[in-house]
Amino acid sequence: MTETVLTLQGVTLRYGKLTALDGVDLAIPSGAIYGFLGPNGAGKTTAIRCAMGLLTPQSGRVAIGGHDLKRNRRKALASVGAVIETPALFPNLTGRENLDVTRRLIGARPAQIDRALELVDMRDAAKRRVGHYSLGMKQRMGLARALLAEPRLLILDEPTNGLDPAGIRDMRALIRDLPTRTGATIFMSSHLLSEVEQIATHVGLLQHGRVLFDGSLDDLSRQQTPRLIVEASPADNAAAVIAGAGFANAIREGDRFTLADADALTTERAAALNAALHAAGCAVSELRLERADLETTFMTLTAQPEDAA
Amino acid sequence: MINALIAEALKLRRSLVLLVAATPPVMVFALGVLIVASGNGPEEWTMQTMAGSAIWAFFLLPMSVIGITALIAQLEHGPNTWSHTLALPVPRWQVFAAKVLVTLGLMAVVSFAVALAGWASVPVGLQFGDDLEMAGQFDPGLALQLYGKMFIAGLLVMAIQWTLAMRFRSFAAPVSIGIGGTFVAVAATSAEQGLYFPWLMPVNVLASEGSRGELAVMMGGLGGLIVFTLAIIWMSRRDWG
Repeated sequence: MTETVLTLQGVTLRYGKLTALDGVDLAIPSGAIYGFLGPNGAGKTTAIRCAMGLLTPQSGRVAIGGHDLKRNRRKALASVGAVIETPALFPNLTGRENLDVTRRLIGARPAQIDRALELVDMRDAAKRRVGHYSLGMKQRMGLARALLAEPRLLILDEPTNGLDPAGIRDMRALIRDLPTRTGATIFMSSHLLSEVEQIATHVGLLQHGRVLFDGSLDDLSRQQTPRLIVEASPADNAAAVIAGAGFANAIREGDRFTLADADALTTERAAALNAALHAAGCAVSELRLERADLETTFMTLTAQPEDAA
Repeated sequence: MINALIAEALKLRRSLVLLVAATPPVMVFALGVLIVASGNGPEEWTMQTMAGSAIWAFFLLPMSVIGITALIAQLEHGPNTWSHTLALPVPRWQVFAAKVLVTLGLMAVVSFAVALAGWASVPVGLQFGDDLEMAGQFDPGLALQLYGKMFIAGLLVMAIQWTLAMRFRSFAAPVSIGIGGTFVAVAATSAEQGLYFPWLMPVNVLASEGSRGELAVMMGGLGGLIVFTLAIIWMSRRDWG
């Protein structure tokens, strides 16, 4: 059985009549890069704040590394590093001084500062005041600070928020390498589906404070509806063949047909359709069976396409 | 706890808190030099020491408390570092207690520097006037006693301002209340019940009736300790969303 680094069990948090988190259950396996997805306002940051002990849920339980957060806060948080919302650093201090403040609070060794700076490639900029840093540098320095305690679990709240494309690419590469370089499990929230799809091994989907999915990316892809893409001409003939072959609800765009009859889509039926199209004199330029991407699945699960990024 | 204290002190580096802390002694020195040089000030050391401490107690102490507590709190509120600091595996009460101690330490240093500036302004001011003299001798014991008592009597104001500054993200609330308190203190200086008004407690150290001064020190000191303690407990337990 895979060890679980972070567990949320039935976590419910209400602000008056508003339910921010509604019985949230999450299990983050050790060694994973866990993408915590949800539209803006879904409750991702609130869940992270509960996981860090900054907010106290009305009911439910949070455990980190097997330690109950409520009963044993210090032991639970000792194995966690976090960057919540923005990389909040003291602008009047240099990067190194910022790390030194945290190092002293957690009682880490001075050598851990150099190690953390090395990991995020910020040694050269560490002597400069943080007030003069770009957002990308602040994100890296925030990450270095989170890595100071050599955490088993690294919690990153929207780590690429506000970065330019180059900064996003660099941060993504950095995060992807961290489990190998540090041994840490990554729990990363994001509303950018493409970002999570590229680096995560596991995902959790949250909407309106409820978990819609929690599992591996493979588990999620198994839930993804397959589609058959067909491009054939003449289109009218092809449409007749497709209808005759028993495919319902085909979406037609010019010569292109998207068949989304989940129960009927098998490789055998795709081959049979290809043969039927050829027999009817249609020129088939494309015929492929594909699974929906994460964005499509996410929209299907949340059933509110306008919310998703 | 020592580590938490050092960490809090480190945060002050290159911050505006130090500029605000340096302002009162500089102002007291400049004003003292001008008054002494004009020849219209006290002509005797005891009166000079008391006059200097009165300016401190009435106006500069509460204003310094407003500025220093607000800026120390803004060190965390500004860049929104609370989420980071309070999610560390450190007892929260230590974080807040360290902030209290740094605030009090800074206020103690400013009090001492103001007393020193009041003394230093006299020999400098005398250089600018003709035939000016200050009768008697400077009594460092009296100065330390006055400023020390004012510091203790001012603990309640410091605790109130500190709590407000830490609680509210915006500095508008603590600054407004501080300015309001200082204004009421000036307007109600001679009121009988003024003794119970936190902003007037440091001023009452100078009261001609000795018992009034002692009561102000006791109420301000005890009240301050109680408010600081309750504030640390409350802030350690509350949610930081």
